[in-house]
Amino acid sequence: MSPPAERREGRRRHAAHFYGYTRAKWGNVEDKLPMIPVVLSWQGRGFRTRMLLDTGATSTFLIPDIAEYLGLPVTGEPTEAHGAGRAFLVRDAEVELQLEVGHEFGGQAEIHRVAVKVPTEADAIPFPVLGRKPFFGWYEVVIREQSEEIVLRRVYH
Amino acid sequence: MTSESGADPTPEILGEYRGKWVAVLHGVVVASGGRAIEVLRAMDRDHPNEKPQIYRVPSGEVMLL
Repeated sequence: MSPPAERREGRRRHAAHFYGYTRAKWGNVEDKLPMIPVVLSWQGRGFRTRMLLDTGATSTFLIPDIAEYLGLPVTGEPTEAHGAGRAFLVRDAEVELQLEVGHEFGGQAEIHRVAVKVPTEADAIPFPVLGRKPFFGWYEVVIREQSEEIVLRRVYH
Repeated sequence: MTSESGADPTPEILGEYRGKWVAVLHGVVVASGGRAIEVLRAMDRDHPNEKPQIYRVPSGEVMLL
């Protein structure tokens, strides 16, 4: 059974389909990762980047260099975050995050103020990470590894 | 992936920067480095009016975050 026409239209209007992989190749080796293009900013200072889409991460993480560059207030006592190999310490911050595929949802891309974790060690994580909270609460996410396509469908509560 | 500042460099070109942070403007890598902050500051210094995309290139490392 198909959904009502207006619902189908609504779903189409609020879905973004885009090529969402970053690929590098050297010799016979190739690596590719699902990464989402975003603008990160704070109080008028910002830059365009890509964040690793990590379905296994419970939170959203920035690397310390980014927090330093944006001048993010990093607060709270360090707490442990448990990576697969080891635990590392993180502190809390907030950042403004805007998807660069947002125009596909109609109008100007939304700017979200997001709670993030920032490791205390520079090399604790290799990439800024879009994790489950809050990203997967905003979007229904489809990752198509073979066609290297990502589909984001806005969820309105 | 395409963006406001142009298409991606080819995978072969990005492969030359594996594991590094790059700044890409109009499909060209205009700065790179081992740390994000050095690339960010280089762009502020050398291209203050441009809006490159600055990101880390996959390196083939085994990851389980």
